[in-house]
Parts: sequence; C-alpha cells; structure tokens
Amino acid sequence: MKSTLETINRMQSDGVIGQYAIGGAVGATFYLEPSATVDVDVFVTLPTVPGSSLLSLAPIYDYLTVHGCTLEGEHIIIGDWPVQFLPPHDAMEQEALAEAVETEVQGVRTRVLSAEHLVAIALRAGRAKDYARIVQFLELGVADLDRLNGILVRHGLADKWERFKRKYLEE
Amino acid sequence: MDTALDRERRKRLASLPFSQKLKILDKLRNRARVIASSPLREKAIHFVSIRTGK
Repeated sequence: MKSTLETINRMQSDGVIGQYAIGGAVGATFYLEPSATVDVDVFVTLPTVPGSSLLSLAPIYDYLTVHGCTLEGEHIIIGDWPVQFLPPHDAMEQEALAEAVETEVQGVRTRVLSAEHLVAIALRAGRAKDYARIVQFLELGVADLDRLNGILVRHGLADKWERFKRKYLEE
Repeated sequence: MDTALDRERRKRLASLPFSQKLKILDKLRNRARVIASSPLREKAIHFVSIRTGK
C-alpha cells in the first residue's frame, strides 16, 4: 500500500490529479477494524482542461501506464493494489473530498474521507455491506452524529437515514 | 453471533495505527490471491460443478 500511495502522491505533485482522498473499505479501515477488500477507491479532483468542461480520467491512465502500471477492468494496478479513481459526481462527494482528513502511512502523507462522509456515502450506496459498515461506525462511536446529521440533511439523505435507523438500529 | 468478545476484538483492531491496519489488509489480500490461485480451489470448483451439474 505504501508504494501505491507514493505513486498517487507523485501523480499529484506532477499535476496529473488535484486533491485526492481514500474512500471505500480502505478509507473505512482508517476508523474501523481492517476488512478484506479487492481494491482501493480514490476520490480525486481532475485538473480541468482550459476551454473545456469535460473531465477525463485518460491523463491518469496515460501517466500510470507510462510508469509501468497495468489496466485491469475498471481498475489500474498501482504497486500491489487495484485502484479505482472516482471523480466526485455531486456536491456531497465534492464536500467529502474537500473535508478529508490528513494522515500518514509508513511516513507517506495521504488523505482519508471523514468518518461522517464515509457513513453518508455508504448510506446512499445502500448495499448490505454498506449498511454493515455503518453499523460498525456507530458501534465504535467514531462518527460525530451532529456532523453526520448536517451532512445528511444538506444532501437529502435525512429520510433514508431515518429508515435505516428504524430497520437496523431500533430492532 | 456477535459476542462481547467479538466486539472487544473489533475495538482492539480498530484502535491500531492506520499503517498497521493497512499491513493487515495487504496480508488479507495476499491470502485471498493465494486461495484464488490454488489448485485445490480449482478442484473444489470442479467438484461443485459435478455435484450441481453447472
């Protein structure tokens, strides 16, 4: 994982990507017990091309293939890990990226989505494994519930949160 | 079933430094890859396909 993050940081300093933060199961591992996963989700801002509003992941793939990485389906293998780059597709993911937490992995600086944004994103995704992860966040008390509530209200997830709580927390 | 012991174990693992937890993820991933590429697994899939006819 260290070499994966070093490569992503190099991409950032070379201007291929802007701000980034780890999400998904690896991001959740920052707060929770490690849980097996097949890939690393990296939320990433892409530099905009002057005169165009289109965002493209092509510069990332071009850069990484030149540096010896290989494509595997929707992933690109960096170091030992398949990585999926995810440009934020709405206001909540943009906010999550902007408010990510700085940390270090074996001396390599990186950023991880906040616990509250990870919960909100998991709630929206709504798969069984997402709900199980939310329960873990709540059991461990690592999410600030006031901050989480603000995010959920701001991004139209308050009703879904109420339904989640009724189904999974009140039985 | 989720016992108090399970919860305590999860809490202990969650409190490890991120670097250490990522090393555990590396190990879990390597183990999954070994299992996926094991000839025993191929035999197991073959066995299942004989049993189920699929």
